[in-house]
Amino acid sequence: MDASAFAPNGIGFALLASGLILLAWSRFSRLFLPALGVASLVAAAAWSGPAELAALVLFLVPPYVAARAVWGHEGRQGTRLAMATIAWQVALFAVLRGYPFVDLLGWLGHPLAVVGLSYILFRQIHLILEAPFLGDLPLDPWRYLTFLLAFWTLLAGPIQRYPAFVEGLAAVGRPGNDAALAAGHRVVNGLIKAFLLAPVFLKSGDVRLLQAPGSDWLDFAVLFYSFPVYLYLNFSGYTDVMIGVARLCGVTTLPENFNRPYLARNVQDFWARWHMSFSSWIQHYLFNPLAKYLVGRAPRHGGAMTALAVMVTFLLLGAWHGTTANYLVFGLLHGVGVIAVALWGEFLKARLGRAGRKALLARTDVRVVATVVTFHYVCATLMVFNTPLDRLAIPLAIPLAWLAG
Amino acid sequence: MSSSSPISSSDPAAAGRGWLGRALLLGLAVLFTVAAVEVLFRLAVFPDWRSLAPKVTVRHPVYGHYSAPNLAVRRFSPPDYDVVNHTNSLGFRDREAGIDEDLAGIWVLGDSNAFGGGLQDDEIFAAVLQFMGRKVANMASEGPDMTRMARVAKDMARRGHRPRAILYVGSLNAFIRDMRDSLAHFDDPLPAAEAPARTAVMGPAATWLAALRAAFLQHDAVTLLGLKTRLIRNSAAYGWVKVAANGVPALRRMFLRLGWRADRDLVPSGFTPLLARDLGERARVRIDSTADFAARLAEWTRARFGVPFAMVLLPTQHDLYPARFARFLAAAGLDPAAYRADLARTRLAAALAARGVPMLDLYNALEAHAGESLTFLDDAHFNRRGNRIIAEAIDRWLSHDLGLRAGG
Repeated sequence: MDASAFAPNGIGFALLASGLILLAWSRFSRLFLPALGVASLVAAAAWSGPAELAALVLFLVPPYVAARAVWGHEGRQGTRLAMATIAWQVALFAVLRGYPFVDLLGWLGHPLAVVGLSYILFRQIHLILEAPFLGDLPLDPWRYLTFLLAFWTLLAGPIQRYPAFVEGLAAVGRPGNDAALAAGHRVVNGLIKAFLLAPVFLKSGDVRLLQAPGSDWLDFAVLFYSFPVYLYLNFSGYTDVMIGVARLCGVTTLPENFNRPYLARNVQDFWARWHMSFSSWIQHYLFNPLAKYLVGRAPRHGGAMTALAVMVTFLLLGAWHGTTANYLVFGLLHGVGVIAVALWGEFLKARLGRAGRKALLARTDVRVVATVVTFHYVCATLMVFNTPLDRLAIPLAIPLAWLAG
Repeated sequence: MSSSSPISSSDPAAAGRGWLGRALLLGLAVLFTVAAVEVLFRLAVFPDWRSLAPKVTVRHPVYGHYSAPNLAVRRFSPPDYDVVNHTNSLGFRDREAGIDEDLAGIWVLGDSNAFGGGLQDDEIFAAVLQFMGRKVANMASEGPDMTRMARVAKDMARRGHRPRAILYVGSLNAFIRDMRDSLAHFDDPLPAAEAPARTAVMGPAATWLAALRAAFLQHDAVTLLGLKTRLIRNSAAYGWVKVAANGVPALRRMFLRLGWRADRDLVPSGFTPLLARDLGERARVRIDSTADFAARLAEWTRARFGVPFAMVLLPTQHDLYPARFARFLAAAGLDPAAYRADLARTRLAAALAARGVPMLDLYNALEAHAGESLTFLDDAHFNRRGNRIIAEAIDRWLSHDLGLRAGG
């Protein structure tokens, strides 16, 4: 059976999901953890060949050893073993993900990206860093494996934290009828969004599509708006299915990932609404420590150091999305957007005072303009996201042709 | 359970209460059972299910729906066939290397029988003719559509190819249609396309509109046939019942008896009024306009290339096997005295003759072998043996009547 059977609209997924839900609703719900582990292994195996599975095993073992070594020892956070393990995992991730600068595994046709290797990495780093403080929670190899490979977060998150995972498992059972209906409704909504509506829109915002003969402003507009809509419907629909299935099992601790992101009023607000479990992880484990470190090194230049931390964070965020330069530029543009928002806020505060700024930003017309501008900025960055840098000038041909009559 | 947050927590006390709780459980159990059966069929019972009903046509910028280029798809329908269909980069059921030579020979236009979906590449009559020493370009595509075939021929002419003759090998009675509109537009210029046989490069807006149209305006998903096609493409269990089980004779007989399997004999041979002794107006229009279109195509061929064009008529299974026709009439509740299986063929032949269109009626050649099985068990297309006889008959006719000897 091919891997697509384990996509959320696949028969394999339907079998695993309905089987787990029925188990959670039955008197044998105590077997849910082993069953979830087996189901997750089946899904992971379907997405991977033997070489990829071997690489996955290599990727899974060291973090468990590192976390286990300091599990519950609160005085031992940030040990050399933990830091070395994180460094090793990040390096291994870069190799397996196939970044050009460490392309050592040409023989590995399938670089595991599809099984959400990065999501596994995020959970591993979280586990290693938090291990000293999680001593009151159980950790064993099976639970660890299931936490990392849980089939409802395997491909694309959301990024669940370990305490929420354990808490969710403790609550496995049959939800009330209203809750079950609401969860089922969410699953159906997700399927409609991801598999009926999203395919109607373009799956790429690559401006090279404008090289088709006769492309004009309309083509540009379709390209500009279509991919962001596709991306949102596809990703949030997928997340809805996963959260709905988990809730049908009684697990209510899968984090939300989207909160009407295209209604964001600035880029900072956008990242608080878009892929929220990822943004939260980045803020917690990358930006906060980095900003703290940089500001600590140069406290008299706190603002500049914070801006530097923002740029580094978004640069890495861009690099996480892909291995080519356009992804880095995508990250940089969002970093610039966040810094611009902060500077604009400071400017308004200086001109209008704190209360005046608050009043201005609360005005409906300002909110509408801010939302529209933010949406278009995000759309433009997504175009960069999809296009090799040396092709970004292609859309200029349209106004030039228009001017030339 | 909190009233403000209905999905915030489990409520064991309320869980599963009442008819709604039982209905939810039943729905899940049904989903699980269906999924389990399907997975079992995919993994163990019928791993070949992916070979059923593959998509072999794509939207072509010049021709409309046409065979996809560079196909290599398995066609699987036991007990009849288990074959691989290949097409070249032009979408022709023909070779890639040497196609330019073939395009300097005989162009075969036609429909499913000429495309030969249930046959290996070398079993189709066009390929057999090639083995007999003729250069033949098989341009046929599944689905009877003379308009599309005329476009293919015109496009090849536009690309500078020149045939020795053009044959339209049509499966009766399917290609006899009301061609008046097509005839009125016969001389319209072909749509422009720089590389017509390759996938067209569409701009984002056109791509988006096509996706919208496919999603919301194509009704094949809601018709019974469309639903069946989707089911057969997406369900190993359904595909097994529909196709694979036919490989087991006892099951095949049982499914036929139960009506789960369409009985080949009872499938109409095209538009039934064409076979009525009392020819209605609509049927008359079909025959006349089809003959007119063939005559127009013949005229174009002569004017453009100065070579012959001919129609080759493939008789229906009901025409060749009267017992099957009798079963069809009985099952359809039609009066046997009012219908004759050969009428569409003979009427079209007469109409073509009246217009001076050269024509080969393959009835006699095939009927001489009607004691053998010349069509598949489960559909009315000609099998390997039928194609061999067709090739031999065409070869003789090309030599004797059109004066086209083998070797060119």
